[in-house]
Amino acid sequence: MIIRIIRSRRKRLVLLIMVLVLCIGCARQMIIDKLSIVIALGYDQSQQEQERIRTTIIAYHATDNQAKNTLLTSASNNTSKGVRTKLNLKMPTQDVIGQVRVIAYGEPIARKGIITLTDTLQRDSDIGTNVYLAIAGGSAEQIMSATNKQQINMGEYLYELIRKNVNYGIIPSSNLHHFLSTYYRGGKDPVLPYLELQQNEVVISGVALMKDDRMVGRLNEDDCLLLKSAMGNYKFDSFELALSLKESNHHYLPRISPLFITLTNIKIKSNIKLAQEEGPVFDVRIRVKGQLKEVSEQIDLEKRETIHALEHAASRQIAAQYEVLFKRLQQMQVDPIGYGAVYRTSVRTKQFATEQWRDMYKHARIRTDIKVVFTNVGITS
Amino acid sequence: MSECTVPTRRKIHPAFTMSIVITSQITVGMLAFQKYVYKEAGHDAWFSVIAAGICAHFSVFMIVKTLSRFNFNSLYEIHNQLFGKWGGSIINGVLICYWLAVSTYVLRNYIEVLLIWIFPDVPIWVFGLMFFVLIAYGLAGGLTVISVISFIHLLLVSWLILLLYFPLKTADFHQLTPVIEANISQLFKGMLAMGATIGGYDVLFYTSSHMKEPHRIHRYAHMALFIVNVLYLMIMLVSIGYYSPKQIVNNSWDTLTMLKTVGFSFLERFEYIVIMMWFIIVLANLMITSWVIIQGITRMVKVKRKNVYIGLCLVQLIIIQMLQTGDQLAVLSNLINDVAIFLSFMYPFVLFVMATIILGIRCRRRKEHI
Amino acid sequence: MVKLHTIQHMFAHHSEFKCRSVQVGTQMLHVLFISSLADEKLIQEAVLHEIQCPPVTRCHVIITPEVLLNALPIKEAYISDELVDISSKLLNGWCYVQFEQLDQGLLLNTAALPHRTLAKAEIETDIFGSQVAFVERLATNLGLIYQLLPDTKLHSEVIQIGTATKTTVSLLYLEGAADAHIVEQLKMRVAELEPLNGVFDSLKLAQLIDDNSSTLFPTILHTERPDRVCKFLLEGKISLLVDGCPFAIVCPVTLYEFLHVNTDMNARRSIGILLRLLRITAMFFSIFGTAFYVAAITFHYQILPPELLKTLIRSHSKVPFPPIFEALLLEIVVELLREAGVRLPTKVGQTMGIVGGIVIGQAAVEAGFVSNVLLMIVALAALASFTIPNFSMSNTQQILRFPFIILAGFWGGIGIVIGISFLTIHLARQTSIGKPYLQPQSILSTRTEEHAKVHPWWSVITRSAASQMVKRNKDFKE
Repeated sequence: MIIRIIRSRRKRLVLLIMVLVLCIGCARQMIIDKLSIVIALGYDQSQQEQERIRTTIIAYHATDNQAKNTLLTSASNNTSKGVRTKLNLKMPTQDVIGQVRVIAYGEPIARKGIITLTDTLQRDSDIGTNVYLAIAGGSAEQIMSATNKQQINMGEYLYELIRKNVNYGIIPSSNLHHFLSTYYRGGKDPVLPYLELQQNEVVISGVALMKDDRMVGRLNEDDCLLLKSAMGNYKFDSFELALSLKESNHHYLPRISPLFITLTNIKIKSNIKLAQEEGPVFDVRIRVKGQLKEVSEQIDLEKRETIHALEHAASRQIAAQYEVLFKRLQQMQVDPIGYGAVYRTSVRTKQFATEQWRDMYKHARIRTDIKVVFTNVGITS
Repeated sequence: MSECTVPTRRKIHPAFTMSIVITSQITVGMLAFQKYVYKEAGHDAWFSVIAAGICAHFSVFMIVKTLSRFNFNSLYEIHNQLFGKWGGSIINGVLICYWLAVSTYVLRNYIEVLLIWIFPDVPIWVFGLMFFVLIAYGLAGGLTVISVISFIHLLLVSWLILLLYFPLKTADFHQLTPVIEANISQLFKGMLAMGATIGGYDVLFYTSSHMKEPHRIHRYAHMALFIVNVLYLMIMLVSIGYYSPKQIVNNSWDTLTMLKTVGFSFLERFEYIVIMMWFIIVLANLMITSWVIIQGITRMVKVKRKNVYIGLCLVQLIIIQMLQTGDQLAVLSNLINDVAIFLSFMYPFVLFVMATIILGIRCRRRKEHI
Repeated sequence: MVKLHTIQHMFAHHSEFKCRSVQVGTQMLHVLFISSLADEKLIQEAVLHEIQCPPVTRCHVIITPEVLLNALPIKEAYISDELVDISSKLLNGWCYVQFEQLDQGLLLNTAALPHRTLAKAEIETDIFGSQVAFVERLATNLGLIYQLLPDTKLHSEVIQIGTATKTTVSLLYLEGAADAHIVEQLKMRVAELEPLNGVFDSLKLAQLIDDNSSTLFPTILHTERPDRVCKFLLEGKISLLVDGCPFAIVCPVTLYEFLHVNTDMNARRSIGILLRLLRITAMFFSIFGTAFYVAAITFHYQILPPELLKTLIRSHSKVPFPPIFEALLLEIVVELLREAGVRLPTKVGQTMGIVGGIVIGQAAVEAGFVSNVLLMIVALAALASFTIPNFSMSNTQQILRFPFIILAGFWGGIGIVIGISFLTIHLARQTSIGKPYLQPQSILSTRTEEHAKVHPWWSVITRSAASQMVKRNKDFKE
């Protein structure tokens, strides 16, 4: 009978369709409004002895009228996915992690090291590499349960906050890919934004410096711009400088100190080269181009010499700030700017180990060549 | 000397060699080849890619020279002519087993991608069945239809190369320096790791008997190989710039992970789209390999092509069901890489030399008799 | 006498059959005709008047058919004595002059079959180009074509098929441009249809002669515009015209001809290219739009960007059904609207359009039956499907959507891709009278074949280099 079916053309078609129909029930449906779509994750040290981590999630959860009803839950277990098993017992809908956008690590757990926590983020094919990582001062749960003035979903708020500041602001890129790439690259240390709860508002108050994967220190907002600008060519919106003019011998400039100036529409090009292998000694070349939009004292900027003098002062100020920053990073033994990477790409070695570089980094010196150029001084002179 | 069984009307334009060769090559390795080359050659892997490409060009040159000696018959006939009926059949059998292994590997590799990324809970045989039904439908039309299909499917997929722009934006090409830090043996090992990735061009041996004006095949074959080489080079360069050293080695699916960052305002996570579009390229490739296998078997045994295909399906279904885990697949992958290096790179030279010798001996013997 | 009685007996039940007997001298002449098919004025003036007119009767004592043949001013006349011939000609409007004692008689062409006057094209409207369309009468249609293509190389061969309808089929081709092998094939296929009872329509004829009638895609193109037929004839294609049908069919064609419109060539070149691109994009969106939506919502939530995700969740959260069900529901409603729209009487048409389109859609969204995003996509897809110029292809496209939606609903993105593969394989296997469906003629001819071509297809639309009036300067002007 089977042979008869196979011989007849029409019956073959029917058999084919039946076989295909049988296969239909196989794939598991994930209809978007029947899921809890996790958009933010937070990792904390667990208070209990048996469990390692405590995870908080914020998820979209569609109900009858409001589609963006958010759900905030947390549970503890030993692994990130293990926590989700417990979370599933608390939620009526399946939680899915493919759309997660922000992952916050509490400071205590960050100081212990976060690479093991990012393991699942690398292995799981569901999670994208554009996820933003951040360090939360205090605990991640505290940050994620806070409310914000705009009354929007906290996960969205964090995502937009970090994204705007990374793309257009002074925070260096901190998505998962960047973090892992920097971590795995010998000679460079990752940097993550530092979230803090200030007067019931979640703000980014600088960056957290990581040594490999452990947090070792912080930089506040003023140093962030210098840090980011040293890492590559970037554009910034504004930059305020405090110039000390007491020592300057330009008679065009008043002897006021500090003189505050603000540059806008800034384009910074920076270049780091290995000058000498022994040392090692690096040449740092930074070119700042901006529009001078605000001066805190009345200065006549009609004359070219005045502008040049201000530029000189600004260059010296930035150079000084940079040296201070570099010394501080050397003391903390972290290298977020990537001098090690520059060393690696300039010198032919058989092996390059991070520990070897950390030794060399202690004795590294830099020679700065920083120039500030004001493209214009606004519409008044 | 020639036993051309294809009527002139059904022959296909030689330009289709391009699409057939490109389809045969890119399916095997494109999604994950960076890891293996980088492990050997470090950040000079791009040099290994170029070197492997140049060797492939030489191989293609040898293949076309061999074919032109035998009036562009298919390789099965060449073996029969050189080594007699039984010797030729044994070698053809070995070749058929190789193509069967490649076909199964391509299929199972792609099913692995589907299982990891899209539908983890669907059994393997269901995916296999989907492919077999479609392949049967395409095979029924013969090489004419298969060549048109491979061309169309390539066109449909060709725009994916533009997606490389996104990882290119965040790539740091200083990772390429210092240039040529690896020594010769490392570079050579890197070339060997590229074996199966580039090695699909020996499909030329089998399809040239169906082409019109076969003396013009060589330019299309070289053009196709050049395009594939450039493609692999671009992807390798972007990977080296985008990833840091240990990342590439850590990740099993480099190209797909690289494309996770691609996003527009209406669609994100383009690796899913790439995986979907990859389906149609894999399908075209499987059609070509199935055609090659069926050609071989029907020349040795007198069976209907339909029944050969059903047998082929069953064998492949059994094999892919047996390969349940990823590391079993890795064993097959290594095996195919080694055999591909021999069959794609060295065998054309060997065959050319043997053909020259044997034909020379026969010629002299005939002259002596006269 | 015997003959007259036989004919009268044959047409006894024919209400329009007339027999006018005239006595001329000593003979009795019978003029037989069917009044609704014959030109009565012509019969009166050219036949009866001449017969009854004195010069004829005075010159000859005995009038024979040969005399009348020479005397009567009718354009087509011959002597016949076969009953089958006489009856078929009578049914075509001819008039038969029966001589009393003789077996033979004279057949005169006085046909004036009812026909429509030339009008504008109804189905294939176009902005540029000639607006006239074919009518049901074969002679008029042939006249329109000969007007556009006055070439002696234009061969037209006539085949009659259908035992009851005796439909005349005219096969047109340009000698030298058309492939002789295909012409022979076609003639054979049409001739094989003789035993059929009746063939009324050229589209039905197309189905009977094409390679594979079980496929969704039409492999023979139909058109109602003579300028399009002439363009195809110049390209080497063969056209068939059926008496009684205002559509001509053209073969062999490829898939791309179904998407071509005359405006593409008549409008400026860049506009033509852009319009063609727009049409292709519309076709893709129409087939795959709903399927993408269903696949993304049902299986692949990861590919939606954040803002879009919120919108889609919000729009789908009120709907109690899974996306595939609501998509199929909406598509079926749109099909119903489309089908109803074809058959609606004009008086009710406007109201029903508003009710169907706006009220049902709005009400469905408010009730929470369908999501508004899906409604928008389905409406846009339906709109996009109307950009296809060929009606058969448009129908095909409407139907093609459904398997894709079902595949997307069960297998997500992989389902869509399986559908695409199946579609491309299916199209690659189709042939249109032997020529591959997807391969345009002369795109892939090898060097040896290029010499044999007579009329390259692009010579119709490009100017030769000599006629370029403005010489292109390599450098800027001074």
